[in-house]
Amino acid sequence: MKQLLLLLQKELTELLRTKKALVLVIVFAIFGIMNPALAKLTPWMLSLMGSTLSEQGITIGAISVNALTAWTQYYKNLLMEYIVILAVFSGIFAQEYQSGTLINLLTKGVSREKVALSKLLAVLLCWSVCYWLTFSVTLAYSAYFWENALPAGIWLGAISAYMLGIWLLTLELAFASAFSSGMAALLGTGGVFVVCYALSMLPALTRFLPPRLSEGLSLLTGALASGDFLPALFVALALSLGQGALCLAGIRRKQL
Amino acid sequence: MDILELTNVEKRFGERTVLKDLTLRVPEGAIYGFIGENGAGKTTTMKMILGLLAADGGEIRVCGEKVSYGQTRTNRFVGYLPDVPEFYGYLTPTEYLLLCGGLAGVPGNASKARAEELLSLVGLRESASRRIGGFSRGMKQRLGIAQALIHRPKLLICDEPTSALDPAGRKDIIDILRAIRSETTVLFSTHILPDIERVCDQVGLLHGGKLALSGRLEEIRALHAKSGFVVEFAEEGEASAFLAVSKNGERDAATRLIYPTGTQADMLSAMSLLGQMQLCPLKIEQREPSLESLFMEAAAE
Repeated sequence: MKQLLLLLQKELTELLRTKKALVLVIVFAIFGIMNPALAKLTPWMLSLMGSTLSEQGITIGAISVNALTAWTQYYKNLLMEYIVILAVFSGIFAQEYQSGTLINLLTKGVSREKVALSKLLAVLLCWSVCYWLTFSVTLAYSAYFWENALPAGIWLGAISAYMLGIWLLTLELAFASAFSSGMAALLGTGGVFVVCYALSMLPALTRFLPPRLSEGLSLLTGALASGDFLPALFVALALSLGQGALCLAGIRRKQL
Repeated sequence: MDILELTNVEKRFGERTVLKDLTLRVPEGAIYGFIGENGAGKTTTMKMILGLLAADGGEIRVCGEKVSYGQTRTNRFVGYLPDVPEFYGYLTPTEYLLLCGGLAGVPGNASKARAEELLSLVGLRESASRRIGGFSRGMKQRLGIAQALIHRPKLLICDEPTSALDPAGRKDIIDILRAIRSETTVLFSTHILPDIERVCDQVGLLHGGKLALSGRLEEIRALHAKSGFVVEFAEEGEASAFLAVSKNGERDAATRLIYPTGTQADMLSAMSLLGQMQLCPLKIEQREPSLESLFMEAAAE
């Protein structure tokens, strides 16, 4: 346990001192601010362009903007969030494999599984902070701009999108611990996601596959019910646990 | 007692056999020089001792416990300095040593004291609060020794610790190894023979996948000792003049004479002859095999 905590502390120090944490917090805060801001600013921007547009024969009617517009933006930005976080952590194992920094630690009698577990925990912790930061910023601004802020289904939608991130990150780390290149980890993750996405086109499978978890907006609009999300949520959880185990197994087989 | 025992160890990489039937013993308290040309399998052997690589046959024991691949239990007895040690550039040496100490199970306070002691030993005290990222190669090598010693291992394994360093850096490392010999047995690989002569008491030459030569340095020397002596002059004329009057001499080079069968008495008489002839040689010495010639010989067999 003490070893694990020390390794986790090392990972977090790395995030802080290499400024990765700072960059991530800034980027995710911007995502959070952009969602309501864009929604709020859309009518204003359109009215600015209004005279030009009307000269061209386009008339703009009254545009109603509400909290839902902000949440629409939120779900549109999700993909970017996943890409950013996956890109930042793709090299977390490769960097150590290639430079040989792990050798000093492993020859102190640390088990390889603990090394992998500490990385897994650090990445998930970082994702949690970043994701919920974006969410709370969006939530706070929406409440400020539109007082009747909390649409129904907002929490399940948020948890689903968070879980999708966990699934993607554990998938990436499972590839990352087995390969010596960050690019391989990214490509592997992308590949599996594409396959899952393609499979989720099949109506029988849609409810069970992780890509469903990105459709939180349908919960807010009422197009989907919570029952449509729960199977995918559990599948993603189970897969994440399996992928976490694969990540620990991958580092064990690595010749350093 | 032998701290490290390798028995009939084998290792292949694909088609290529790197080690075949390697048997090696390192007694407690020794500084063991592990010699071999580049690619002989020194690093591979060390990584197998540490459980970082799987052996294809044979048995490795550290302090009597069997080493198995992937498991690192025996590493609690071992400190390892890789040939090019790599660190986390964002940590300071003190933080790094505390991390290593903690991972090796050294309690917090002891770890702190040990880290300070080691930083002084390796001469990094002034840089203790700088980040490792800006360290030179020599500094990293010294920090490498410190991290390897943090848990007072019984066996220190150094993989070519001096190969990448300038002469001053090499001397520093050799001095550190000398300073710790009372506490730790050292296995030290290199292809720089003068370093071996400076610090090792036991040597083993890895050649063709097994030990071609091994034992105490003096014993090996004695075993391969050559008799005779050598006289070297500054000028060719002097050498010729001396060769003409002395017995059993051969010309080795223009200014160098060898007396291959010369005994000590012969050498003494040669010296008095030199005095009589008023010749002052550059040097006169007993022939002793150089490590280099010993190893070239063993490798050629």
